[in-house]
Amino acid sequence: MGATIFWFIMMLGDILSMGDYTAYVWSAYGLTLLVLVGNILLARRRHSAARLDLGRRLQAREGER
Amino acid sequence: MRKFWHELASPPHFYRLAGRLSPWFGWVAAVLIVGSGWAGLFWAPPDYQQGDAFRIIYVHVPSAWMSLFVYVVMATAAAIGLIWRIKLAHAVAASCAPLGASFTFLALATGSIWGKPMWGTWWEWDARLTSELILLFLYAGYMALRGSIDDTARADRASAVLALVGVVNVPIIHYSVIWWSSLHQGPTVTKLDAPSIAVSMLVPLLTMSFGFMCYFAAVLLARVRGEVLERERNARWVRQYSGLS
Amino acid sequence: MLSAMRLVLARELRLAFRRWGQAATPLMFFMIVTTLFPLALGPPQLGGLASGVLWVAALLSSLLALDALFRADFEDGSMEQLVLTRQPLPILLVARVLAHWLVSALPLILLAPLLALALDLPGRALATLLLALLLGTPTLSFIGAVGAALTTGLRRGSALLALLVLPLAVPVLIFGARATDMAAHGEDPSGALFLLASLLFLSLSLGPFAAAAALRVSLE
Repeated sequence: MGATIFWFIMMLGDILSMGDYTAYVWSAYGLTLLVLVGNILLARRRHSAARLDLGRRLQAREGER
Repeated sequence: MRKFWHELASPPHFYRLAGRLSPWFGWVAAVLIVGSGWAGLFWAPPDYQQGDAFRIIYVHVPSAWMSLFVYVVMATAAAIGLIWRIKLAHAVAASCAPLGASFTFLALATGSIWGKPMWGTWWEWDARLTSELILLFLYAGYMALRGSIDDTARADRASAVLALVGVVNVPIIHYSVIWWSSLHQGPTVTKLDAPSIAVSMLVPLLTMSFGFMCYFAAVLLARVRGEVLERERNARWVRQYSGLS
Repeated sequence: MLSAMRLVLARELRLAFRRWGQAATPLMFFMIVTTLFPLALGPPQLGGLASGVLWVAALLSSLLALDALFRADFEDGSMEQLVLTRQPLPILLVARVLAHWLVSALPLILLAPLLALALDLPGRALATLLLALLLGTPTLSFIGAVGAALTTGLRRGSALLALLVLPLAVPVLIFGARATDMAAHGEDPSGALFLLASLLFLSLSLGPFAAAAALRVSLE
C-alpha cells in the first residue's frame, strides 16, 4: 500500500516536472488560476450583496407602511 | 434590429439575458482554459532555447492581450454611455475596470516570474512589462476617479471622459515605450517571446486567448448584473430579485 | 471668437500678475527638485542624468501648477460664466491653457538652461533642451487641463490629479528626455523632436474638447 502511494507520487512528480523551471511555471499557472477564480467570487459576492441590500430596503419600506 | 438594441439597453431585459448567457460563457471558458492549459503544459514541445520556462507564455500573453482588449471594451462602453446617455453602458464600463486591472496584474506578475529564469532578475525594463505597468496606473486612475465621486451619474460621465482620453493615449504610450526600450536594450537580452513558434506551440496560445475572452464575457456579465441591481434599487422591476424573504 | 480668446488670455494674465506668488511657486519647486538630485546622488554620479532630472522636475512642477488651473474659477463661480457664454468652450479653454502655460511653464523654460549647466549638461545640448521643453510643456498643459477639469472640486483632488495625469505624460517624458540626451551625446535628436511636435498637435487638437467635456461634467 505504502509502496503504491510512493510510486504514485513519484509518477506525479515526474509528470508535473518542468525541468529546471518547475517552480516558475507552476507558480505562474497557479497565480493565474487564483486571480481568475478570485474575480468570479468577487462578482458573485457583489451580486448577492446587491440582492441582500434590496431585500432589506423592501422590508424597511413595508415596515413603514 | 432597432428593437433588439433598444431592449438590450433596458436594465430588466439585460439583467435576465445576462443571467442566462453568463453560465454558458463560463462553461465554454472553463473547458477552453483547462484544455489549453493542459495542452500548453504537456502537449506543446519545450522550446529549444528556453526549455519548459516558455510555457508561461500561455498565461502571460493572453493576460497581456486581454488587459488591452478590456480597456478598449471599457472605453467603447463609456463612449456609448456618454453619447447616447445609456446608463447600462456606463454600468458595463464601470464593471470592466477591475477585471482589466486584474488581467494587467496577471500579465505583470507572470511576466516577472518568466523573467526571473530568462533574465536572472525579477524585473527588467522590457517594453511589454513597462507598458503593462503604465496600463495598470491608467486602470488605477480610472477606479480612483470613480471612487472619489459619490454621485453615480457624475462618476459615470467623468470616468467616461477619462476612459476616452486613456484609450487615445494607450497606443501612444505603448509605442513610445517600445521606442524607448529599443534604444536602451542591450544585445544579450532575450525578449519574452517564443523565438520561432511552431504550430503545436501556437494552437494552445490561441485557444487559451479565446478562453480568456469567454471568461471575461462571463465574469463581466455577472458583475454588470450586480451593478445593475445596485443602480436600479429604487425601480419596481428589481423587487422580484431581492435576496431576503 | 478670436476676440473672446484674447479677452480670456488678457484676463488670465492680468490675474496672474496680481497673484504672482502663486505663479512663482512651481518655479521654486522646479529649482528645489533639481537641487535634490545632486544632493541625493552625489556630484560624481550626476554625469548622464542631467536631462532626465530636468524633465522629471519639469513634469512635477507642471503638475503642481495644474492644481490651481481651475480651482479659483470653480470657487468664485466664473467657471459657470465661461461655460455659459456663446463662444465654443474648447476654444476658450485653448486660451486658458495658453495663459496657464505662459505663466507657469515659460519661466521654467527660461530657467532650465541655467540649471542644466549646473547639472553638467554639455553646452551643445542646450538648444535641444530648450526646443524640447518648448514643444513638450504645452502638451503637458493640455493633458493636465483634462485632469484638472476632472478633479477640481473633488476630495483629495490633487493626489488624484497626479494619478490621472502622470501616466498620460509618459510619452512626453520619454521623447523629451531622449531628445536632450541624444543631443548631449552628439547624436541627431530631430526624430525625437518631431515625435514631440506631433504629440503637441495631437494634444492641441483633442485636449480642449476632452477638457470641455470634463468641465461640463464637473459643473453639473
